[in-house]
Amino acid sequence: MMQWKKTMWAAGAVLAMTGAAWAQDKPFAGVELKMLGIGDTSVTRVAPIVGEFEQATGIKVHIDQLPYPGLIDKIIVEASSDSPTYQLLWVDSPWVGMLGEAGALEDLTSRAKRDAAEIGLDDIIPIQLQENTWQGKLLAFPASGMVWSTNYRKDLFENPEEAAAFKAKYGYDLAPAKTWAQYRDIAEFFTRKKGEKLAGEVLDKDFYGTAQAYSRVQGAITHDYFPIMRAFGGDYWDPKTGLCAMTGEPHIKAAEFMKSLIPFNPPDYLGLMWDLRTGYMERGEDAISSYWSVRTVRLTNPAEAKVAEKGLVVGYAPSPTVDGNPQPTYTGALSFAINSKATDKEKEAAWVFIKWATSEKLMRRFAEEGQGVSQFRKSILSDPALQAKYPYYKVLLESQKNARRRIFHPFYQAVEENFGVELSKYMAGETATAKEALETACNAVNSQLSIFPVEQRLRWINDVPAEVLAK
Amino acid sequence: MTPSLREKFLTYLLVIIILVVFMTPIYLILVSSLKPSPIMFSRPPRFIFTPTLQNYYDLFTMRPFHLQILNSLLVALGSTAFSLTIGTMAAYAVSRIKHRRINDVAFWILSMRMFPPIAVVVPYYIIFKTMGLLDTPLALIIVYSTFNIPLTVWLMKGFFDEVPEALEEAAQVDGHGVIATFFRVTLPLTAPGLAVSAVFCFIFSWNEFLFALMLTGSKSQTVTVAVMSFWSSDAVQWGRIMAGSFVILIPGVIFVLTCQRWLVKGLTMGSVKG
Repeated sequence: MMQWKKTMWAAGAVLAMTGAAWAQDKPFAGVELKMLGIGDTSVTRVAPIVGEFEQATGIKVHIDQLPYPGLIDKIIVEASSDSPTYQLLWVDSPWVGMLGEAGALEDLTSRAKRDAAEIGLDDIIPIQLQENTWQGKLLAFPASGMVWSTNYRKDLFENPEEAAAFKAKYGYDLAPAKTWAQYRDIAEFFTRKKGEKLAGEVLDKDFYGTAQAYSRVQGAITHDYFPIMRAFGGDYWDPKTGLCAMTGEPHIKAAEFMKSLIPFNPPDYLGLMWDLRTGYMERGEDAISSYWSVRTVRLTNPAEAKVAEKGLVVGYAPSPTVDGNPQPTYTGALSFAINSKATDKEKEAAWVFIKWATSEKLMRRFAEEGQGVSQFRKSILSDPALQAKYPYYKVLLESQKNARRRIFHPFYQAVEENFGVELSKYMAGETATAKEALETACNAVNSQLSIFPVEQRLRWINDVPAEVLAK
Repeated sequence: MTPSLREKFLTYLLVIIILVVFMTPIYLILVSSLKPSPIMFSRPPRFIFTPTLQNYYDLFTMRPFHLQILNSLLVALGSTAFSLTIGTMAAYAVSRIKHRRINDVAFWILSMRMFPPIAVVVPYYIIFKTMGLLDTPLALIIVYSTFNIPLTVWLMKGFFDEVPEALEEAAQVDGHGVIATFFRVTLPLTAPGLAVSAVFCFIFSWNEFLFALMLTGSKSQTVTVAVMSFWSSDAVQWGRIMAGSFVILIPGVIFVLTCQRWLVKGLTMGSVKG
């Protein structure tokens, strides 16, 4: 009897100790989180393996994938609720200013500092963290890094006949454009009609020098215009008033330059937006094109891009500048954030998920498995084996050394909408001059901004670097 | 009078033109849904290619599309049934009550339909959040009914106005009460109106996007949101969107065809007074 009692006590003690250890090992076991996500690669790569996360931490994560149009509205509505349905939020970096100003996102600064070694904070390209900050606070964490870079048909550029003809016509060697003037020359040179020859082959359809977004839908044209505008020396805001200042000479020149590229674009240029324009490069139907790196990842995958299937070679280069000297690169980030209205326990559990979903281990796994995620970690982008597999890694890494963040203002949407419409109208010939188009757009933005005190407007445009990056 | 050959030719030509105009988008949706992604936007457009069902496979494997179809059916049929039940009885009352302000009441009911949906999204969100109804089909059934009931009232009021009150009086002389008269005499005579109302309610509920986006998550997500969720920040997956669009056309077509017999009658009823 005594022996039996002793055995029971021992078993009880072992059970209690195991339970305590388990509780310590999985402090958030049983917590359920919902993520307001999107069908973007930053989410779709993670969604199928959240079971692994649950197994490791005991935290159950359910990801809802909603359409990009309307997602920001849903986040805003969600942020208005004191007991949110979604604890985790997917955010596009230009939204951070608006959501930060609304207090919708949890400040991750102290957590990032506390867990700097675990998350490899130094391994993350600084601009990708900066993209997710507002007024010195880190409000989201990069899950996919975006860089505006150039893709070109390397096989055409390396064709001896084409190279010789180009040099004869323009007086310099055919190479990836370092300046926008060269970009225009290249686009002009490679624009060919059906029946003409390209790299020795007779074309069975028209071939285009470039394919840019000129569509006003969802402000698509602004994605192409802003990198050019910034390369020409233009900025968004007046540093004295905090109002829209995109009506100066650099802005006008940039718009006029973009219009000068129209003859080298497909005839449906006014309808071209994001993926429709990158589709031309993916099918091998244009010579040079700059875009976000989230689409560049498709170019090495035959299932997504015909150019890879056809065996055509795509080359990668930094986005052109005006004088050929390095200028700040245009960046963005697709990120994960925590709803500020979640409970403390949910917030901590959500942070555990973010650390896991953006970890070097997982990002490396995606890269090795061949799944396209636009990477944001130095260790992955600089890995020689991965650079050989994904030739654009080197460009993404190099071009972010001198990067400058994308527009981060709370009125980002107003800028994108108004400039999207007015610039597209100018490109279509509906507005006579670039100046008129830019002034109309700027006035519309300023009519909304001017109701705010100048101090507030200046605070918005003079956003300070994230504390977490301060050395 | 037998139509001449020329008249016949013109009639058929007109029918063909109308068919081409209305069927072209559906044909393009179908063709695009069968195209592999890399040739989706080939120039010139390719109409001869090896079709693939990959987009349909992705639709049902990447997302629980079959459940989303069920959600949409539940919401659309639920709202249609509820709106017809309430709306028909309300319309009968509005049609039969003799009061100098009854037209104002009728207009007030119609004005509910004039609300811009975006204006009521946040209040609805907060109400359903408080009631614990977010991400449930019931929330959408309630919201859609607030738009469908006024429409039903107005459509059915016109049909009830057409039914002679003498018929109801005769039924009542035969011993029927008001309710029995309504269900056994008046309502069967307005069957075409019910069909028209049902079609409009169903189509509105089936196609609605804004409320479905805002008030649902994964549990009760409807097909319109599910299809659009293939639009992400880095790509619009046109093949899957087209496959989804084609699939969601089917229940609507079946429903309209089912109601067609009464629909034509309903749409033309009262157009010629004899």
